[in-house]
Amino acid sequence: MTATEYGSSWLAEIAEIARGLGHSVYELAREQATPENMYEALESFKPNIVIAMSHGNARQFSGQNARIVFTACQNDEKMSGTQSFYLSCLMGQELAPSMVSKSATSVAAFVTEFVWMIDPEYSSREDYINDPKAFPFRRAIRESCRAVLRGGSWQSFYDTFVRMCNLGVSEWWNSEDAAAPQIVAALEQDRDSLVVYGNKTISPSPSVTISAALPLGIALTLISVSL
Amino acid sequence: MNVVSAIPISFVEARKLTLDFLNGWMNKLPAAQRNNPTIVFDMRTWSIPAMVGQVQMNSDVGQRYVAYYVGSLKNYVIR
Repeated sequence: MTATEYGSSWLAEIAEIARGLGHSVYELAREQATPENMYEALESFKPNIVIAMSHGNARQFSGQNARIVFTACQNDEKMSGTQSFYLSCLMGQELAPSMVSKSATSVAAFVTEFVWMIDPEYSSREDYINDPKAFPFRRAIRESCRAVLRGGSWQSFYDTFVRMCNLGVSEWWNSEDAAAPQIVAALEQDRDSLVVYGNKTISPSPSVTISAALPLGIALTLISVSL
Repeated sequence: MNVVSAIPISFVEARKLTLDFLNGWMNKLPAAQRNNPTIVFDMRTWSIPAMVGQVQMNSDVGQRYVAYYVGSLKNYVIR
């Protein structure tokens, strides 16, 4: 079990939601999630929305085999004109605002580590989606993405994420499970870590999705949407 | 209105708080479950003893976990 496989199962679910809402979806998965393929997809599909999941740090976002896809102030102009959400750690500190300074329309990211809990009893790929301890985190990501894929604003994305995290906190608050206090703390921390740079009230017009997921601890999922 | 500001603590104190928390959490788990992956941090899965090891070694991940955990408490700030 790797965290990135776990997270990419969440993004596969989001890609299905996008298709269900009538958007065309393009996914980059596992070994396809290279910087070159990402750049090519941005050029060819000219997505309006990109949803990505991978390792990140304050200045960089990486893909397959830890190869760097974006670095602040080096190649982040490639996201110019797009709206994006990065399910990644720390990117909200420097890379996300740097993208907006290079004309990315809106960028949502986390300023601290994005943390979640898992139940090892749900350790097979088919079971990730049923993991009750991961569920409140998965739901918060899924529903906030659904809000923007429906044509909502990034304010609605943000508000939905906060509301879903708070719902998870209320559901786990009185639980006697040993992991419950940490689930509550992680939901609160993730909630307080999300930031949206750029025009938060823009209403996207979704339609093409790129998504990618990698094994071996490195994952990248990109969803891009355009009419 | 009362304004409560975060209490400054050293990293050593922060690390002790974190280890106390992790060990307390681990002790609540049945012995058979303690080595199971439980938390996703830095986009990697960790058992509690594995994270304890990172914090004790003062690795990069361990240091970031200390900062994360103490930050989640809201009432401390690492000097």
